[in-house]
Amino acid sequence: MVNPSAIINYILLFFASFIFLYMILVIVSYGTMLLYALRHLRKDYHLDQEKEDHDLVELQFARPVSVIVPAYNEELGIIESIHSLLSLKYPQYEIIVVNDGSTDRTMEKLLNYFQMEKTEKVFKKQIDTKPVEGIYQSKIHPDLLLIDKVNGGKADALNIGINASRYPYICSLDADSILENSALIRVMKPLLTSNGKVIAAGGSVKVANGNDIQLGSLMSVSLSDKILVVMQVIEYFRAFLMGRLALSKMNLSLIISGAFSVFEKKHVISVGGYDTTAIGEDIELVIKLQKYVKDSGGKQEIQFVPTPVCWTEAPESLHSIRKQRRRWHQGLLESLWKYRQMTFNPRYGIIGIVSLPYFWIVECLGPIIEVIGYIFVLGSFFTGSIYVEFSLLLSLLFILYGSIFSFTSVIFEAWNTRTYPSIRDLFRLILLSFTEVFWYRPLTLIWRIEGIFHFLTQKHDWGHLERKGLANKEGNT
Amino acid sequence: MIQQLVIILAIGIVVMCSLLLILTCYVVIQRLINKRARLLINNYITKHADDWYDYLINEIDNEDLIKPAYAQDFAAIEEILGKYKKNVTSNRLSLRISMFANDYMSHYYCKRLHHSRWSIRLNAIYRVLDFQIDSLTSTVIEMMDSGRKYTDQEYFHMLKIVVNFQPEKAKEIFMRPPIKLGEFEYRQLLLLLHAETKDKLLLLFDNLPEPCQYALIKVIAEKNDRNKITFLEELIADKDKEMRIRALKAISVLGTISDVNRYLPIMDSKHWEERLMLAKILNYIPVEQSSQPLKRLMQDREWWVRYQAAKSLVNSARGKLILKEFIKETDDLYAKEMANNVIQESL
Repeated sequence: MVNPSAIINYILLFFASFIFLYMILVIVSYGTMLLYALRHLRKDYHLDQEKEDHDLVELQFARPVSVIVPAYNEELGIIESIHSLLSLKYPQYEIIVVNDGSTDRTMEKLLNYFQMEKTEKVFKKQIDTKPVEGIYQSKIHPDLLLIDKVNGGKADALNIGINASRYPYICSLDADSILENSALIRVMKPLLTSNGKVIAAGGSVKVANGNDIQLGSLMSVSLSDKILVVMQVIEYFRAFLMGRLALSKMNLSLIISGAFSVFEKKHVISVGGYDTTAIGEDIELVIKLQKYVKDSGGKQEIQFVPTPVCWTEAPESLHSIRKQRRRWHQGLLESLWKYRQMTFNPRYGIIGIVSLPYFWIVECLGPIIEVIGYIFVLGSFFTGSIYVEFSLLLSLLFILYGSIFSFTSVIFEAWNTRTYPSIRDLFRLILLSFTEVFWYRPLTLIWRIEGIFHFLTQKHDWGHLERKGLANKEGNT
Repeated sequence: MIQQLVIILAIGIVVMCSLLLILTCYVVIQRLINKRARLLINNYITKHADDWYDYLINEIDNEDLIKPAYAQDFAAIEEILGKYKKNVTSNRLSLRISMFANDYMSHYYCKRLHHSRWSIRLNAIYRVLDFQIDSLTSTVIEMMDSGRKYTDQEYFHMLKIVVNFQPEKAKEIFMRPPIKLGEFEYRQLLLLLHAETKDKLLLLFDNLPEPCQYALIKVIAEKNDRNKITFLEELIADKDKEMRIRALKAISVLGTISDVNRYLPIMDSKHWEERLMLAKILNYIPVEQSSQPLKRLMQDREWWVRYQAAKSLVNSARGKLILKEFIKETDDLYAKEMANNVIQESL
């Protein structure tokens, strides 16, 4: 007769070994990407980026861009965002704000602040969208257009912007974000200089909360007083150093930030624009473009560019972060599922063989395995089972993977990019990065698991995040 | 076994933490050093701002006052020269910068050209061209011939220096570039050339690599070189579709043509891009001659061609009238709607 406790022990051993191997795999992947990113950043460390920007702008190498800003109930941040766009160092661009049926004062604010009046504009409906209710042009900035449309979601708003755009490149920017004035030329650089090899690029997104922003201009950078915001700053650093940069350099990008990215318009139109039914319309578009490139036998690339910076408002309450993370994870899973035929498919080259499996195993299913790991560790310690040693081992791996990697990201960022110049801010980041594994990481894991449930139950939560606005109180209008 | 792993991992974490703490100290010290260096650079800039204005703008030969004495002076001077170069467009100023840089900065940049760090080498290569330090051309050529492995980016910027200071080598570089150059790179090189050298290249057009040919067409349009219209008009009958479209595009930018009859067969082109360019070009000829072909293009099957044809007509008062008549006469609903929309848009 088989002893039930022996069976339970075998099961526990199996789980423990599985989690251990999984953690090793993840740590090795992240560690490799970190080293790769660091090598790249050190290479560029002294490079005179301003000189390169200047050459592109002055010598008229920069081809015109249509910047599309979808806005739904963005009355608090939209004016700052447009101000930052009006002062971009770029020779020729238009700004198309698409009001996606806002129910607050977004429309009224834009009409009054930029003195917009109704205009007629002819454009070809290259992508099917919800109806347009009116087009407005600013009297003070003729290259600023406002399209008022029936609510149809962010993807639909972006598609209308694409239809109405005049220029061969489009830039999508979230209405709660501001751009540094060199951001557009820097994110466009790979598209302008690669002779058609790069068809899309995304810039680096950083947390704006805590900064001094006036009329869309960044006056000074400092860390927010709120612990939740600081934890998100650390997360962005991690994502940057242990993901995007290395994946992009290996042409494995599946995610470029929806908050700030540029595309060659003709390719976006070829794939039918943004998918209005997708929750993560940005990742869906990138995977679709990667598929389109490979299906058409092309060799074009999608890149992440670390230097152009977009500052975005991070949610400040647990409720808002939870909602955001749940949606991000649901969006990721939904897109991976939609293009599941690409996974492990040699036809899609390195994207199919390496990138998609990586996103499935590490990014997508990771939260489930990690949470089981946490439960195992806690269970073993509390019940005093024979796997205490194994739990200790897993705990150390969690500390290495959570806190030490975060600390490493913070210090390497401080070494190479120096976002936060104050030494006090640096020490706060280091201290809080140590705490990540004990509270913030488990929370994000639970939120991401909720995203998996929402995906499985097909629950569509279009929740809009609560905004506070980017400007200082006195600068806000 | 597990116990050993735990110990190894714990030691590993402690070692990593120690290393990271050391790196933290390094970062903090580095920030303090950078702050100090910045202060010294700012001091130089404040102290010598007027002297530099005298040297560069008033052309007073006060080199003894401004020449670099300490290491950070070079960085400060680089900033000053960079700012003048960026904000003032004057041949005299460029000459003064070049004189100073050749006399007092070439040694500094020569050392940086051989620096082990890629970014510092590349910055130095940029400065040689920015500050016109022609005395370093031979050093750059030696570097290119040395067999040492440079990145394509470095190599390309070195080529820019050679093309700029030794244009007699341009022909060889354009025809047989030592690294793979795309249209973007060729365009940058072409912009460095004087008109005579470009004219010589034009004579060799058929022997140039394709990206170079495309870049040359683009540069003709950018420089608004209307003398090359005959050359461009020959290309509109080229067998390569891309070449024809690019030539038409350049002509549409120049806004001048020799004989409209030469263009009319393009109305029947099977490529809408060519018909679109024709609709654009017809904007530049008297409406008496352009109205009939534009009316036909108004009924084109491609939206962009119809739109451009309507826009070309609506640009003149007479054209607008023709467009209104066209709306009354035509049975083509798409064309009618487009004409109406474009008239509304122009109001």
